[in-house]
Amino acid sequence: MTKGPLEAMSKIKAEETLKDKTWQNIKQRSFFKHPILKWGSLACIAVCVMIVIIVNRPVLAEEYSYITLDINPSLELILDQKDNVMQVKAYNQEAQETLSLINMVGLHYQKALVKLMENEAYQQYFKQESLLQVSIYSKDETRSLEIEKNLCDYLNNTEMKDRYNCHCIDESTHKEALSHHMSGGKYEMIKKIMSMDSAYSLDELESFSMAQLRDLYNTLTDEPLSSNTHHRKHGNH
Amino acid sequence: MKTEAEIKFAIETYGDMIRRICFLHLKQQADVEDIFQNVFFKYATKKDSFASAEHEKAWMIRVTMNACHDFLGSWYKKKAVLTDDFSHFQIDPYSHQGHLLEVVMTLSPKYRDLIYLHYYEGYKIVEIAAMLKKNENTIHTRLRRAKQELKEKLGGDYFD
Repeated sequence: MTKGPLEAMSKIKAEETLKDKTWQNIKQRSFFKHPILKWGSLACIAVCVMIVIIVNRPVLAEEYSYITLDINPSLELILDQKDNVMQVKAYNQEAQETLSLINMVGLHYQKALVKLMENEAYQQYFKQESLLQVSIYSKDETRSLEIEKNLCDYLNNTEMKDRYNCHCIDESTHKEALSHHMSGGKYEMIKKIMSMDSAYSLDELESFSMAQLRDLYNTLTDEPLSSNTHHRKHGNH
Repeated sequence: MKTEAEIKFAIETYGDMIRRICFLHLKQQADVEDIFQNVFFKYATKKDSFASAEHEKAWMIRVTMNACHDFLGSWYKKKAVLTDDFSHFQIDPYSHQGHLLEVVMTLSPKYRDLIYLHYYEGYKIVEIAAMLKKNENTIHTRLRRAKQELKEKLGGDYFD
């Protein structure tokens, strides 16, 4: 058969040295050809990966700070040591619905808060009578204070600037709130009300919105809770 | 992973063809070795089996051509006449056949591939289109242009 203009190419052959080198190369590169080598190396890789995870896990996975936000959706941002959101907990149905629309995991808490506050669905709770209750707890008190300041600086420039309450809580309040499956800010408010009027129970007040709790609190105290307060309150009231 | 026998058989069966395709595109022996070894390594580690020997050969051709094109990339020089390589294979560039090959080597890479597949390997346009996963009309047009360019460079009618 004529090869047309390429008749000369019939002289082109793969050199024997080229073929030998190719075979040797394939043998060397076919590392996983041998089951023992294959599974052995996979086992080594798995062990190395586990070591890396175990070594790094305490740093990466530890819960370090907590920011709870109650306006009617009651949710909690759980932060790692780098102030990034590891997890967001919903404490009521409204919060669950909100979280189904917004993903804040992986974000720095400041960016997460902006994302939340600028979400249209969440903004529907910014009614005239609403109160945004923000509480902060961190294993490092200095970090707590820093987070509180940053959150207040941000909230002072939002629609809720005159209708929020932001402060740090202590470890025991945080843990008690956790045990009752409630945000720290809301739990603290309920405890204050119960201390002023024992007729109220935790179960009863749990269903109140933050605005309702604020109004109730204000009827029981001589020092009504004003909006836009960001004083630091520690200790168990 | 193919067996040793399968791999060695493939090297013997397709080695010359792959070397020719490399000749059409590559200058350096080291580059030829790289492409040659990579093509057979891909073959050796290919999980799926081939439907037929023709299917296997077409696969080899396509993989080799793609590897050459990828390797050259933006640094490719159109004129790849290699008198040194010609002498390595004892091709006399001053002979009629040597001159024809020399002119083919001045075509663009895609045209060279088509001329090689059509004339040397004997593939029809429809077969080339299927192998290179191109539209049949595209192959037809390119081959026609390649032949036209060859005719112009050779100054006569050498092909049908």
